[in-house]
Amino acid sequence: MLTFSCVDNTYDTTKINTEAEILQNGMDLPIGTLEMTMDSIFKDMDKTVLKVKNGVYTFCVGGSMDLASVNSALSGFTPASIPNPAATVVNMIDGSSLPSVPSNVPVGTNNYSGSTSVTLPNFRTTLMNPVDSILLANTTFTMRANTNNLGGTGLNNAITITCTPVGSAAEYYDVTTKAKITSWTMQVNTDKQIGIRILKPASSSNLQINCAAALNVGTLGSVTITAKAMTSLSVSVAFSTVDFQTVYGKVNYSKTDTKTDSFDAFGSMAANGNVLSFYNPTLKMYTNSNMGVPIKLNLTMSTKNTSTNTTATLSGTNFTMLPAANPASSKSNVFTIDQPTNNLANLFKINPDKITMGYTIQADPATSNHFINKNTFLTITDTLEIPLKFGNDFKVNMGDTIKNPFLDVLDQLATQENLAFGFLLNVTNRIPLSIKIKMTGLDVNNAEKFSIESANIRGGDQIDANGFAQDTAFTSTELSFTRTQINMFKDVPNFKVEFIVSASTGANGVAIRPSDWIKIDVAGRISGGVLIDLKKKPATN
Amino acid sequence: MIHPLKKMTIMKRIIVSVTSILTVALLFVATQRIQAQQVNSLYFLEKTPFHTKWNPAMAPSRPGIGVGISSISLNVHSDLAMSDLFYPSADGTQLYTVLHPSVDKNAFISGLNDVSNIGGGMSMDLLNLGLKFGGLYLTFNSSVNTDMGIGLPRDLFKFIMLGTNSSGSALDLSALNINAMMYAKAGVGLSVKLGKMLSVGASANYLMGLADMRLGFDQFSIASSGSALNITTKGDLRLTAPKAIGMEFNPDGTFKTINFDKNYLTNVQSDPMGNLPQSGKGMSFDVGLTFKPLNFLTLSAAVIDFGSITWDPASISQAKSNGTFTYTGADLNGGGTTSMTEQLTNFMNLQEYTDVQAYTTKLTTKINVGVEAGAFNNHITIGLLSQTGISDNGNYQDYMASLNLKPGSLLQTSLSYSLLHGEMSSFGAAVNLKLLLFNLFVAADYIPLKVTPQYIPINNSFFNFQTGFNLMF
Repeated sequence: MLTFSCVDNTYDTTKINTEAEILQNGMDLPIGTLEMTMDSIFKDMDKTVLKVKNGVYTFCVGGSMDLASVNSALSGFTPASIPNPAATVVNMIDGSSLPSVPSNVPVGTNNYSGSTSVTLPNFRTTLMNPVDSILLANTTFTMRANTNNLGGTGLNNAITITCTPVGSAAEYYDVTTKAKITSWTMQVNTDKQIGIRILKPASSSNLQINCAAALNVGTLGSVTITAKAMTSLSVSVAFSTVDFQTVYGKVNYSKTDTKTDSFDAFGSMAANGNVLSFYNPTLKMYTNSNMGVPIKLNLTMSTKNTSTNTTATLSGTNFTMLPAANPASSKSNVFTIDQPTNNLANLFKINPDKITMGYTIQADPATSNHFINKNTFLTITDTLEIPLKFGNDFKVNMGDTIKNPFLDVLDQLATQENLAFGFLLNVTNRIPLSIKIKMTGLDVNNAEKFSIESANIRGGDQIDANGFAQDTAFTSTELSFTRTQINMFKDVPNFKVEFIVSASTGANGVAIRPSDWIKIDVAGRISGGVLIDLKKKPATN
Repeated sequence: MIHPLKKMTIMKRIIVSVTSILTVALLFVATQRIQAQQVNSLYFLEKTPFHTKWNPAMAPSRPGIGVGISSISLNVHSDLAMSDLFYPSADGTQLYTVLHPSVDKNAFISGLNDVSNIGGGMSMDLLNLGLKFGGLYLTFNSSVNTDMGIGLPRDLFKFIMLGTNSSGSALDLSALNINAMMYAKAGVGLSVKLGKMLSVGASANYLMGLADMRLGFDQFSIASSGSALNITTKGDLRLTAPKAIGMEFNPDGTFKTINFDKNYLTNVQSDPMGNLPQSGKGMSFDVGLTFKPLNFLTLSAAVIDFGSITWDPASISQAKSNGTFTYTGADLNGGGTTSMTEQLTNFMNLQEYTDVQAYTTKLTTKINVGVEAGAFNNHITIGLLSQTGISDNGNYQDYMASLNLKPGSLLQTSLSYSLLHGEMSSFGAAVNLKLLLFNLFVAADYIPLKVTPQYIPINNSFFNFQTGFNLMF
């Protein structure tokens, strides 16, 4: 039926000029609103690392010093063994002139005496010198009295031996009742075990035990002389292995250790040009020990930026760990390292990539009357707390490279003649940090083709004494691309987007709390008209 | 600078003036209307199968039956023709779009109607049966009808072409509207010859509403203030459909989208009659008469599609907006961006509305008045047809003159000339062939006078096409 119609060749659709211009007078169009509280920003952070302390976000990382070798050395006291003395012989009845044997010992009582002694070692070691005393554990000696040339059915009950230690070199106890004893009795031909609780080598180097023996014959014939010779008692002493619980004296110990590691705790935030100015980070050292000796602790910590060759070192880090009051207790100490006293924050300001940490542990040589237990322990744990509270020179550039978000529309964009495009940002900020946004177009070699930058987005206002912003600040700014830059989009596969955060409010010690928030109203602004080519097809990938 | 032609040229103004004189009281500016329509070029070819659709009194001379492809009609209409959107260069070597940088966009926009309507419809007869009993002609018919349209306000073009920063005035999108309706129709009709001169006819049709959607605004304005848009909107979105098609709302009650259950549609395709959804029902009536006072002169008049569909509240979902709000964009906390469609949806600020009420959609009632005069024993006739459309959305008036050749029952043809809705004019044509029992007809209104080399109409933006195959005994 279209044969009725005339063909107008001026409307030949194959001749369509596909150049087009839209939004000729420009357009502002809201894109969206981004509203974030610090609480929402940090919601995925490990709450054991990022805590709220005194209302301020605080990074808390903890650790412990490896003191295995120190503990091994301090537990290394081994008391010397006590030598067994030679047996002591006490003569009793001379039977050499008897006409015949066995011969009955007459009824009645006869008394005899003798003593045994041993020279003690001084127990000194490299660790303990001198040793004043030792609180022993499970240390005993066994005494035994044997008769010579005596017999009879009543012999064992007829002789009673009373032992009495002499001097104050040791304290003894009954192994059964654990009670302290100052003398004890024993029968012949029977072992007698006695415990030694304390040895005091500083008081005396000799252990002496006097023995008094009473031969009491009640019935004639119950005790006999069995050989025509001198009868006697032979008293022997055998010491067990010396074990100890606490040794008293003077501890002599010193150890130094140093280790250097890479440091990347702040990741890309520690890039050169950034100033990680934390207002007052704190390193707390927690020590605990059952040693009865003051320990001098000297911590060394320094950081280094190997690219700028700058270093920073802690100062004033000599501490003394107080001793335990007694062997049954332990003593905890807390040492604080901070910026005002020790320049801790300076360690992070140089954007370090190396950290050297070390210590010197030394038993205080100026004191004595120390003690150490057999199970000595010394632990040092540390907690580094970095409140998100910043110095007024704080500046961090955080950025990432993203794929050019405009690539999808480039295939339909013609070469622009008047177009300018930008993002309008209306920002309400109560975070007490200023932000600047920068976008850099990167070519295939990641070289900069152009860059644009927003104005400084002001941080929250009215900083109080705690560093908190009490009021919001409003900033209206724009990220604008020029016509020339838009025409370069096709040569820019990637954009680097940077957020330059600084404490530019001028206040020192501004602090971030969970309720701080920022609201960004984003709008697109097009001016000058958009030239597009209707023939070009958008990329389909 | 290229200045686009005003839509209404001087020639067209003359035509409109003539039309105005003839119609006096029935001149209305065309507005959006939703109603599939028959091709008028077939009006005077009375041997067309089931011709009672144009006038219930115009019964064919033979009984017949048609199944499936008995009649298929298609119509499209737009207030924007190709000549409105494309401009040849002065030397004729290039064809500029209205978006070309050299085109005066302000002139184009000022030449637009307040609203530009674009729409279309399709009607397919599933069954037609005609039985002749002496002077009686009894018809049974069923069909499925679909109509849809969209009204684009002038400021929407302004928004795209000029942006939001022009002259600081708010964009007025109040005329934005979208309409779509689908319904099935089944009816019975009777035509009676009352003597040699007079025939009368009537038909009654049961209307089964399948789906209906309407979006419209009393007010919808957008003013830009940099990073925010101040939007005032008072609108209504109403969707009447089976449960498989429904609105989805955001948690805050704002309209999100319309969801379709594809499985349901698959079921409808596999078993249309068993799964046809009914969301509304109604009746329509057609009445007509023909009067032949002289052998060469026939007068006819008919009222077609007088009726309405009442939609079931249980099938209605609705969203309304009423108020002013500031739009600052999407919530970027979720990382989401929004498409332009989503943006526009956000601008409308439609809120879920649960107090739905039944409503009625009137069909576009058409009043056909025709005069046909013949010569050579009526083998050649001239016809004049006035068609007045009356609907809730507005009225329209068409006129058609036709030259009809009817050499015999084998062939009937018609060549028509129409004055379109008081705005444009164009030719139409119709052919009705009958070979033995087989009857084929093809017809079109508004055949464009000028087309591109690719046969795209240049000045016309209306087109009606109808064809069908039936058995006539």
